[in-house]
Amino acid sequence: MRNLSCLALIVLLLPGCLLSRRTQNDPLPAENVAQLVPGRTSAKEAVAVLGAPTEVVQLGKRTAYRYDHAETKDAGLVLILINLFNSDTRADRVWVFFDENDVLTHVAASLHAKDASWAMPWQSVRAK
Amino acid sequence: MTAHSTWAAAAGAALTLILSGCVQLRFERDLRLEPLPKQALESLAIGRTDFSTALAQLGPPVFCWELPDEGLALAWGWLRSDGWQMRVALPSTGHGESIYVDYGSAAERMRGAVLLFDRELVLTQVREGLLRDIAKDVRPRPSADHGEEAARKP
Repeated sequence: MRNLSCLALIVLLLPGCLLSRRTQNDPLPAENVAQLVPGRTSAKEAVAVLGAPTEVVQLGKRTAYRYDHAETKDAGLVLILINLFNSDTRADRVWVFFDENDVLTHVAASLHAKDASWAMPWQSVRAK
Repeated sequence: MTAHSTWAAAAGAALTLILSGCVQLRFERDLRLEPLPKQALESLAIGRTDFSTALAQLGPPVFCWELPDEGLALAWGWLRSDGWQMRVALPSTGHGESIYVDYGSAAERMRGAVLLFDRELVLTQVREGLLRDIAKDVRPRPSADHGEEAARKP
């Protein structure tokens, strides 16, 4: 009887499960980011390594390029009246800063897009 | 019409709306990016911390803004929102469009911290709160002259 109840519950709930994955821009390989050397790399070389930036910000005589790649994982349970959804977005993000001569002065990177997880709203997803 | 038949008609209409998916109760949690470690923010010293140290301790910002006098601002943000919504969808007459009404939907508002640096790239200010509000305060608005100039450009 208990097995039958479990089966009935699974049959009722399973069609209402939802999993989806969305990405924005291409991933930023860590080995490419490691090629950037402050004081030596030029803006042209940075673009050759990382590609076209998502955003270019003019900072007086300096410039900054932003690169990002985001991954979103959505999970949900769609019942007749009650729907439960969770959306987890994490990103790879790299900023490179250039002086007035277009020489790299600073680089900052964090690569976390792969850590996005599918979870239900009551589950913790930020242990990583 | 008796009270009983009125109640039955209302219950039937409600059941039809629920079973057809026109009425939904929805719980939604939205997690975007990672909050800054509190210790990293507390270790910053106004007038002493430089740009390199801030980047090393906090990682890459989400936004970077130009400030007057060759200063700049770096903004880190994240979102943690959850809440219940009631969604009602009704077909409208005529064009086959639907009307959606959302009640109690959690507004997506990114919280975070903004660091302001002077032209020597030394930290001058740390602001915490809603990025949208901080941005309004610290980002200079383009003047009317600039706006007209930009409008004339092809």
